[in-house]
Amino acid sequence: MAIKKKGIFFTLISLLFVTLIVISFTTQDFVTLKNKVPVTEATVRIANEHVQYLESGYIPQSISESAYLALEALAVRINITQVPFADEDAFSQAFEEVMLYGTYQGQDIDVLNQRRIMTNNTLIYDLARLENLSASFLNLPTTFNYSTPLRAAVFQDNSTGPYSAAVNISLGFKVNASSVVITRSTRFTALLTFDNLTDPNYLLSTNGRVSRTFKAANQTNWNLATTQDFIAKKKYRYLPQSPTFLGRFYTGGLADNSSCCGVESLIDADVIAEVGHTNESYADCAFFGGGCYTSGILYRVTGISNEPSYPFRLDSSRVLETAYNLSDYAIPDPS
Amino acid sequence: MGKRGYFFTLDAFIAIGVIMTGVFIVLLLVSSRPFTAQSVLLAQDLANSLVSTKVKDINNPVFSNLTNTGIITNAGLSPLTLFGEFYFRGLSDQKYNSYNSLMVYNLTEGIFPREFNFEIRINNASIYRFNTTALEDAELIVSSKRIISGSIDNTQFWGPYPAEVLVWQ
Repeated sequence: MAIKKKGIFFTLISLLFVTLIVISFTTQDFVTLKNKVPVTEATVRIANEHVQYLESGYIPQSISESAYLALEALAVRINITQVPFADEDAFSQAFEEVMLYGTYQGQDIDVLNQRRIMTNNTLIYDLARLENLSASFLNLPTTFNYSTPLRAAVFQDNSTGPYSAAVNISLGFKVNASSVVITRSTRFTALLTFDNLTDPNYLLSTNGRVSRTFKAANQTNWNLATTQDFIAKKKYRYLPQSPTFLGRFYTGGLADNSSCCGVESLIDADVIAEVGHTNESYADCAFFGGGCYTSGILYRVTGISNEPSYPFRLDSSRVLETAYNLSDYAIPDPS
Repeated sequence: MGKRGYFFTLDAFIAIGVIMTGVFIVLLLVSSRPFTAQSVLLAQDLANSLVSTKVKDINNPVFSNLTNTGIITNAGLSPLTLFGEFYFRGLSDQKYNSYNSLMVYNLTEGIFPREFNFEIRINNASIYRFNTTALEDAELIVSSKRIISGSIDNTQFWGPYPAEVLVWQ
């Protein structure tokens, strides 16, 4: 049978149409997927960025903030009661309660202290605020897990150094980005510096008449001039024979020296004017607490002050080159 | 072959030419309109650069001056966080709001295409706006959002604030 030209033409035309139909439908599917993928990608990326911000920014920051303010609120509490915490455990327990909930023994600490410090600044409040903002502003509902009681522990060690503390807290949270749910359970360790925090020990020992806030000294070379400047500027420095800053919040804390984190200030004329001279080393931990050195020999340091009302003296470990380097100006104190 | 063959062939070429010209003109007109993707990328790029760059890495005399004079106390911050800190400081000291405007202007001048308009908002307050078209008249608005927070010298804490970069055309 002979092949007709018309037949070939119609066959080719029909093949062309079928091909066009197939291609057009394939293209539509591709386009649909192509439009969806970037949206999903963007959602996941935004959710990831939010989680990253929470883990490395907001949560550690909130822990630092609430912990810092909790220490301030506890210092005020000590000033009002004029009683330090019974021991380290009592202090840690109070710290945790104030930091997380803003309460002390179940009562609003700001009401007890009559000073607004923790209101709207507790960790729980900060987390709730973030939950609201995430949902309303980013459209990323975020929930923190409070089902197990949160535990917060404050400590100092080699990693924190003498001028800071760290707070450990385990926290779980969930970020819901409609198509993606990201769940995390993380142990956070946040650092907080003591700068400008009230030293409860000064308030306790002067019956609230002298207040001093923490300022770390940055000098490394010690001599008569730098020691005078240190006293005048009311600063604190590291010394291994001194107690930690946290130790100033509880009974017996001043007696425990800390090789990693011991800090002290020197008693200035303002304190002597308020509480009078005592036959003690003018390192604050010794002057207030009767601890932080073992040798009984005291040295009168000439040159710090010529005022008879301010007979500055230090124990033997502190006049040495390894401490204030004042041996050239130190004479044994007969009293 | 008859003359009709030449005529139809030439006619086909002319038709192709007319169609291509038409397509070219249509594409040209379409390309001058705002592309959603372009605005989205621009808003994201601006927001990302404000979040991921560190102030100390910015080679700009305004940032250097503010750092050297101690007004910027932490050059390790991102610009957006720094704007947040200055917004917070500006609540009690107006001059920090001026620093914010100065920094954004200097940072974006030359790198942000001026045919687009943009605004940076922190805590729903505008800290800087560049616009040739009013936001109300915009045909397309793209927003990139972040939450920012921070502290001053680790002792004074601020935020969390909603921060938004708006780009429109």
